[in-house]
Amino acid sequence: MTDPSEEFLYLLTDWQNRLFGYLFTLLGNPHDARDVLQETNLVLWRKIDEFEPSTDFGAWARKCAYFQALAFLRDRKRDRHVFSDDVLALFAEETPSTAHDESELLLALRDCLGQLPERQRQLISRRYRDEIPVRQLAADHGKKESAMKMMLMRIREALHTCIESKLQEMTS
Amino acid sequence: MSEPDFDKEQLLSLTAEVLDGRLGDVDREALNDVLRESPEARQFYRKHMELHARLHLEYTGGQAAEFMPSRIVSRRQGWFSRRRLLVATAAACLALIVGTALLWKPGPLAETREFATVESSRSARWDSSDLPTTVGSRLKKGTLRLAEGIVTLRFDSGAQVTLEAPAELILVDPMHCTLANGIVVADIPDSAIGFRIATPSAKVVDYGTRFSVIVDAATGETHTQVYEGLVEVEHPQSGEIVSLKSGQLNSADEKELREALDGTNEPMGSMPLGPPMREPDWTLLETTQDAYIGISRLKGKEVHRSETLLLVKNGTPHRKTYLGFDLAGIDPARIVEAELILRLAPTGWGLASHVPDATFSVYGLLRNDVLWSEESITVETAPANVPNQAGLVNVEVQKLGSFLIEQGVQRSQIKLQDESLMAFVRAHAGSKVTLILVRDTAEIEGNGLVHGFASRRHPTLPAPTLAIRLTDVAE
Repeated sequence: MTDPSEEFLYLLTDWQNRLFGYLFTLLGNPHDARDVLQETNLVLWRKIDEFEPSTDFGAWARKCAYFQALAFLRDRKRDRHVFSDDVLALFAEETPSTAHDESELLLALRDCLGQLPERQRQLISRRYRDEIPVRQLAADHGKKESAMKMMLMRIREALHTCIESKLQEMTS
Repeated sequence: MSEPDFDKEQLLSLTAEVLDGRLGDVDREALNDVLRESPEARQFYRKHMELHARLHLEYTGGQAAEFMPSRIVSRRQGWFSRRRLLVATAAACLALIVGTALLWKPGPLAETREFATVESSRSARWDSSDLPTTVGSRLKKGTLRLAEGIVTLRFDSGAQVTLEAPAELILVDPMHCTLANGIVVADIPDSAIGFRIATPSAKVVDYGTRFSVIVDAATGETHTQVYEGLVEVEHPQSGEIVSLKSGQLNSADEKELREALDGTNEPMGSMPLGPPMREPDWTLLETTQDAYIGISRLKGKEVHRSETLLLVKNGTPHRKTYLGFDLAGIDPARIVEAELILRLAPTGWGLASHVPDATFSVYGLLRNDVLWSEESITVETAPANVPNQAGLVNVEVQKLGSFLIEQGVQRSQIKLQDESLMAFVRAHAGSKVTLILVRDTAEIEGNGLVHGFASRRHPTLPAPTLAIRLTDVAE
């Protein structure tokens, strides 16, 4: 028989990156998302007794993350919000497909990164690894800032399409 | 797919503004309107943001929260029953969550006050860090680990501190920091006189000046050099103090504080620093081919396959990694040292809790003429492999050395230096060689962590590398 707390820990760990992605969507910046994720972990941990193995952990954790995000925004000055409450609620109502587990997502991402043309990969790595602001990247490449933003968006779009098709392959 | 029911270009551009942290009021309104109206737009936005978050994690530290307890339980593995291990695991986990939550909670706690800013950064790459690291970020108490590049911080006291990789700096408050290892160059204006840099072997107190502090990662030794002004170096063990004036330098270790010397303006490069500098006589060979065996199949499809990492696991399935190097043109008589360098990276598979501190062994294939290729290598065809077993065919290989990866560690640089490795490289210089990497330590129970090492196809990490030092003349 599986111990519920073991199951809980496994799921909580497995869901960290996806919860982070969810909070990032709601809050719009990684630092706030990280803060709220930590709070969410704490709350989930306190509620471990309410957790029943074999129920939908993801849905439960997301719900908790959503309420933590609302509480966080309430404590903040209004002008930092990206979304109004009704739009936040719309995001919370829609459950994204969770058919894929964390390792599949990670693998698909890595493989797709590996398939990007060298120049695009370098751009992604400078943006995310070296955390170089878009302004600077644009200047380095002799492009307008708006053009650089678009270029990064297009690369992310290509990555996203690639990841979707990889995931499709894995399940089919 | 049919045309979307929203203006995709507009949403792309608004999303870019959010990611840039520069969403204006008008744009904010527009973004809310688009997303309110169209479920399709929401899906599009969510996908972009989630991918951005994932890329952010992938490139800056892997995990959203450092979660799985590792070292805390590993030491006592043998003694702990599984149940007690679990309780300890849970307790450690709680401590971690509560710990981090406290650290992050906004409020009057001293720990959460921001007191420094990332002023600039050049070619910087951070190792796992608990602080934000983009230029302009405000920093509170915490640890910065710089893996590559140069980063300048400005403390609110006015102190400017430049960190040179590899280095680990702990920010304490506007007037204090601790250099665990690496190099800092400090520029202290009058407003920050008294600024203190603590190291494992000394306390460097500044009296308005420009100076540098170097802490040797291996020995904890501290080297201080003053370019301008006055600095006091205090030795916590003995209580002694040495004053350094412009142009002077000194060093300290746990045992003693050495006297001030007049510097020669020579760079302090001769001091033993972090990683050994590669002399020009080192030849670096990357793998010409590399692959792992033990790919699992589910309903005939390959699963858990990585194009970029070489996977290693001791459990079902047994995964072993094959590295091919070409030693053509290497003169055996000139070889004096050989080192295998690997980059460990997280695979995302399995539980670290199920694999204790693990020993890995590297074997050399004795025959050079056994051919294998990245495309066709399998459990059945791999040279010297024993299918479905952790081991290799003993008579076909020679052990070249072992290394240990502590439980839970999923990112590091591994260096294997061993007499046997050098002897093997010497014996096979001039031809193509195969090294085989296996994990000796089995998982405690199923679903154990799969270790991964960057392959030559990895987009960001260096390929497995054989570093060989050659002398000018044959010895």
